[in-house]
Amino acid sequence: MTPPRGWPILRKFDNLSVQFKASVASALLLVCLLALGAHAYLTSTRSAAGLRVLSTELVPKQQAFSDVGNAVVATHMKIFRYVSWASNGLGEKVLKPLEDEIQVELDASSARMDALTQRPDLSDDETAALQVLVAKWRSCKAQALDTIDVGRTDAPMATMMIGQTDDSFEAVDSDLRKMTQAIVAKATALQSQLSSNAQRNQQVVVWVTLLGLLISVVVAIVISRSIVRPIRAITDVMQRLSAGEIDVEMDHGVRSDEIGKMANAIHVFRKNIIDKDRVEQTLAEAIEAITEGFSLYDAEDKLVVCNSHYREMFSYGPDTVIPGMSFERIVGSAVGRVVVEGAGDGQAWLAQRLEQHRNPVEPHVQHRSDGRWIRVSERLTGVGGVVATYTDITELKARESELDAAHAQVTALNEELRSDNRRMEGELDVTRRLQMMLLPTREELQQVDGLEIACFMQAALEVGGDYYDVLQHEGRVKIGIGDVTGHGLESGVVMLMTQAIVRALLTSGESDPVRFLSVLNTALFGNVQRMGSDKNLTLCLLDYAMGEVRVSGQHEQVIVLRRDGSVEMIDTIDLGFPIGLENEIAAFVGQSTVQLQRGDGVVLYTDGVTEAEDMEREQYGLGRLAAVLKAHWAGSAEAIKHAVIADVKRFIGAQTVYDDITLVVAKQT
Amino acid sequence: MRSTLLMLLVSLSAWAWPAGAAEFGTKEEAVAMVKRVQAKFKAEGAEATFKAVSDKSVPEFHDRDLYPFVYDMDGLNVAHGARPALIGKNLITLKDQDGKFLVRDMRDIAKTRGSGWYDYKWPNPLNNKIEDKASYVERMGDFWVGVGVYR
Repeated sequence: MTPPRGWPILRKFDNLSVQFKASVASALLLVCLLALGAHAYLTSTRSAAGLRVLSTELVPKQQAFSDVGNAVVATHMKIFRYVSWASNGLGEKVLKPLEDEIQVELDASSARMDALTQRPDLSDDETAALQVLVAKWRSCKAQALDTIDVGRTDAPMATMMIGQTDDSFEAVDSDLRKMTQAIVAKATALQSQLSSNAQRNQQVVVWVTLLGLLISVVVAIVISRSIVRPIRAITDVMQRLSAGEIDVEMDHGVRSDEIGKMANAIHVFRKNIIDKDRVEQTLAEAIEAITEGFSLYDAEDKLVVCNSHYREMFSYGPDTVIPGMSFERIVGSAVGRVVVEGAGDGQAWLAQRLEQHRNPVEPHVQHRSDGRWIRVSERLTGVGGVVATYTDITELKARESELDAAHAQVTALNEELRSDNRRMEGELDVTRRLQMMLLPTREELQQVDGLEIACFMQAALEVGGDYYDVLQHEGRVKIGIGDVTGHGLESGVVMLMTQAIVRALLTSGESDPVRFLSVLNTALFGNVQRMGSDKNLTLCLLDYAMGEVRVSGQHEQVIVLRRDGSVEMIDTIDLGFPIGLENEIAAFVGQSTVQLQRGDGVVLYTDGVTEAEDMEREQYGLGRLAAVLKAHWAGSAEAIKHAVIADVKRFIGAQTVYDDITLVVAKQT
Repeated sequence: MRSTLLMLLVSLSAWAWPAGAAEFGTKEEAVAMVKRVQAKFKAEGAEATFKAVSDKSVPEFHDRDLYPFVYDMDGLNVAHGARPALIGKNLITLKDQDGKFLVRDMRDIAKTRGSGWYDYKWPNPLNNKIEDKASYVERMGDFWVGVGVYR
């Protein structure tokens, strides 16, 4: 569609509907016609009225006035004749009939004069003039009668009097003539008015006709410009669209009338075509992008669409698989070229393949002679066609066999692992036995002078590496408690070595706590190094003699309880360093001393007690431990130990015991 | 006093004029006749005077071509010595051949001046020819009276 041309004023009409434009044009022409008709009607009415006035009023009136004038003149003549005859001595025989005649005519004129005054069509001027005239007529008539009367006996005198009679008649006649002339003038004016009306009427008719013509021309131009031309352009666009041309330029949204709507509709139509093309293009690209072979056959089993993977599945030229071909033909020509294992002579396989294709049940796998595995998955579409995907599963098949091999390996490994596990279980058992084996005996504990001692140790499922010991050598008592990092055999071994070294040092008579721990550390460090392990332990040693306790080594806090139940805590953080972590720790070792009276005591524990968790994973804590100790401190060491262990176990409930639980209660006797 | 004497003299002289002494009456005789009419009017009233004036057998008011005529102030003829047809006719618009409104003019003389002479044309009663005439008019009560001479 060409861009809008022409006068901008005409372009404004484009937004009015065609119906509206047609209505306006008709209305304008109708108005012209009505104006013409109304004008003609009014003019003719006026003319008719004028003519009626002329014919029914003015002309008869004029006639009446001139009739009276004529009669008066005639009578005047007769009076003159009478006087003339009288002067010539004619006798009464002749004069009397004339006199009678004059008398009759005078009366008739009077009657006519009266009749004139009675006319309904008189103007005010005429009425006034008539009043004057009637008065004049009366004196005129009187004079005429006087003249006749005188003339009857005195002709010379009548002759004398004829002068004044003439004057009177002249006056009356003149008045009548004036009035008649006025009426004639009126009639003439009316006539000329009618004539000029007719002329004006003519002009109006001519101009209105010209206006109508002008309107017709303008309407024709507007219609041609705003209807015919755009329709031609739209028709052109539609023809090109129907010929398949999509990139057709066209105006739309410019006008708001019916043609604008047509243009908009065509624009939408064209856009839909373009969209459809785009969708088809996108669909084709999508189908092409599928990594599998894709094909769609219609209800008559003709190929509708497929992608290049599908063609490639048949391993021959692209021109042999084109839309419109039947599946039978495509597959038939493939037989012999595409060798499928187990296809036999080809014909039987083809029949089976066609049957599968027409009634697809579930995917089947073709093993091609080139080694490829193809899974063919076919499905009926709603309209009776068949959609098929050909998936190359060669890779999948390879993975499958790899997986099978891996599975066999895993099974074998599992077997191995199972035996390993059994071995490890045995190991743990040994470790647990080792741990328990070296604990001090009840008899040993009872032999300690000045102290009543109760101990408890419970190993966790995996042995936690807790350590405690009570040793007595030459009057000196050594109580130790520790916790090796980690679990298992290594931890157990480190614990055993620690016990052995402690006993060895004690036996060797080493009494200085710093040297004692330092040597212990160095010895253990050497062994841990040899083991290639990173194990180490916290260890706290208590030296007891005669009511005095010396504390050294880093471990949990040492709880000191007095006989009255009050509780004191000895923090061991600054009294040592983890054992087996460094070669030399002498610089870190310190000691703290506590004096015990009768009924006082110390309590040692591992984190298995304070960090024991209940069902809500809340830790038991030092507070609870101190409270229980305080509550039961009046009892024997053994009773105190039982109360604490019972409270901890009640706290743990069904929760798993993660770590070894160790408790040592020593009470001054 | 003087006018009374004159009047008497005129009246006597008129009387003294023998009948037929001249063919036509004179102005003096005309004036004398007016005076006689006035005297009769005064003595006997309007009706008797008008009757006598109009009666041609009364020589006192009919002498050759002399005769009186009496009109009221509107121009209505009430008595005429020569032409009785005019009695009862209003002649205020009467014109002579020269176009003179003679009745009106003489009425005006009598009305404004009381008396005077007026020239006009009028048919001579003796030959019925229209001749030049000079009339003497005088006011007489609500009327006026005139007598003219032909020349």
